[in-house]
Amino acid sequence: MIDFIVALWGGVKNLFYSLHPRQLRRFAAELPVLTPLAVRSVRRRLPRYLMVGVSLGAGIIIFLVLSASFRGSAVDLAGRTSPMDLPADIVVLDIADWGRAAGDLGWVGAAGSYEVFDSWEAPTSVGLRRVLGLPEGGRLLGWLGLDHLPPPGGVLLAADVAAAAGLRPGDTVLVGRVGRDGFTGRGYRLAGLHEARDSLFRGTLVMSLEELLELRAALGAASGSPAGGPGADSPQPTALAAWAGSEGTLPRMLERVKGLFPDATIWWAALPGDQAYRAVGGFLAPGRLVLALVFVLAGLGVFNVMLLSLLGRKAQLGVLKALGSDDDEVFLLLFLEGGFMALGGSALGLTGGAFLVRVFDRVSELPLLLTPSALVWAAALGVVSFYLASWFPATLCRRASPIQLMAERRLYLDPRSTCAQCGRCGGF
Amino acid sequence: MEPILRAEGLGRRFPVGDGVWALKKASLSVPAGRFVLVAGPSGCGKTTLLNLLGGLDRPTRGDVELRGVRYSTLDESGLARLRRTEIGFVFQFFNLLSDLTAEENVALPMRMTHMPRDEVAARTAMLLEAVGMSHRARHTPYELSGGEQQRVAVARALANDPTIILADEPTGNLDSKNSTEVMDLFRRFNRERKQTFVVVSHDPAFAEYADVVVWMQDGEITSVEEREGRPS
Repeated sequence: MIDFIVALWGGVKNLFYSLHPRQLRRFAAELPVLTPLAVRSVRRRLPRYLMVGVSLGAGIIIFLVLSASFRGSAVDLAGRTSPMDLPADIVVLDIADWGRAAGDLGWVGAAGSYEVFDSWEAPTSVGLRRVLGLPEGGRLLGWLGLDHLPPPGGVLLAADVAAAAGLRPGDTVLVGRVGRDGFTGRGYRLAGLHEARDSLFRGTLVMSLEELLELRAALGAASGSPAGGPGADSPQPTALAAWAGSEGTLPRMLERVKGLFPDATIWWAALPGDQAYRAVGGFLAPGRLVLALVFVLAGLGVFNVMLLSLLGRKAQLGVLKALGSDDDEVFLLLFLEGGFMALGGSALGLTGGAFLVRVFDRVSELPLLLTPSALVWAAALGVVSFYLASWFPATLCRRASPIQLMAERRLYLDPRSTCAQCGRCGGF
Repeated sequence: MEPILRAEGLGRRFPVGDGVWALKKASLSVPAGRFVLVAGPSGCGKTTLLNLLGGLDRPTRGDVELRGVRYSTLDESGLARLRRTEIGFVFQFFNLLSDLTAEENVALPMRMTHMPRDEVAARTAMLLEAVGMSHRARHTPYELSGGEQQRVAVARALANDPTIILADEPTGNLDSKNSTEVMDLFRRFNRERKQTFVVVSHDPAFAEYADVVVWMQDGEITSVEEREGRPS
């Protein structure tokens, strides 16, 4: 037993050793010799390897669909919570006619992984107004019940602003955007009016920090008059709200925001949708366990095929060793074969999963949301399950002597230990 | 003549039951360019001896030295490198890799040493020609007869121009005609290329091919017979 544990521990050490840069360089040098061998072997046993690739692919597909389903449900639930009051007088503001025409009111800045709410008063034709802008596709859009902003629904305007400007739903307003080529304006249909109320977010412009700074500088240069708009010399924002993609990055981001806007009140989290999202996160935890089990099952499939593949051609692998392949090269050969299988399976799983999520999203009542991180996780878990599943058969083979393999004797994790000879565990 | 391969007090015990000594004590010297036949009845330890000489197995006691390199000083990788460059093997069941064609089987040991591709191709063609298998170069082992497979195996054993070729019952799975052809092939390479051979066979009839016949019985070398006047 102790021998077995020692052998197992040695194998685990080898697992990490095989990822050492020096070992990887060595493997790279052997690839031209071993790759054709691995390709031939896979080609000869194609149906078997294909089935395993499909199993792994199916695992990835299940992972992606479940993950997208959980995520979509979470977002959906978050969206179903009571939307916040629209806390602004002006939704959109046009840069070119800043403060002159109420019809040209619009500024939307796309945010990065986080969104920052700036707050200032904008001088318009109907007096000073609070500004709110939302990024297209931003999370706030859904949480504030503004999914239709901007098109296809168009933009919303505060009722009193629209009245003062003589605008009605269906009229066109111009929305300025920060793009790669600078600031551009786009016309949008005025979708509706709302009653602006005083609340936490009254008067808000949504954009990334970089864009905010860029915008301030550009506005100052364009207007020539700091008083005409929020140029470089305009007052600092009075309120900021922010959150990051993950809890981990939020404190850093907040610190940065505090540094940039020392006088601003910084508000974050506790949005009703955010709270709902967190509540759903509790459900995601056991869900992830199920997803992990999917990969364990897929890994067992790879394990079985790799083991059978090894046991079915002990003699051939023994000949390779007799001809001078060392233990690491035989190990790499088996890994390469498993790698082809994993590569095909992962490609199938990722494309199939993305496709199925798209299809289910259309036909299902609940939305499915496939995030890039889920794709990355699926690919990573696929690689890890393949690696762990291939490791054991490859280690068995690595440790067996040429004679043991050529004579098709039973293989043990440690062929020379006393435990290997007792045969109680049966060997492989 | 200075021996290129030397075995001293070799013994191999297999831990079956109370332990079985398949090879009790064997000392042997093989000079360069000689054709050595190891003969004896089944179960006398011939194959065990050959496995130890070829570094395929580790002895329980004793040591082997090939061109001054003691096996006991080498780790598994070192032993593998030694097999790759210094030793050629021919097995009873041919043991060609069934996924590869005849020429790919012959080329494999050379590819393992990272020999340039064009050199590998030229040498493979030359070796297949030498064993009379050029016309079957693109065939897989399944498409070859036993005799043909063994010829390819001989070409593979010669691929890296090894110091010594070890053959374990190379005719054990062949009919008499093919057996004679394979032994003739060995003798030809031994004569023309001064290639050293150690051939294990239970058939004493092949003693006529050898310069030296090592007789074994019950895990021990009973006699070493120097022969002269062998047929050319």
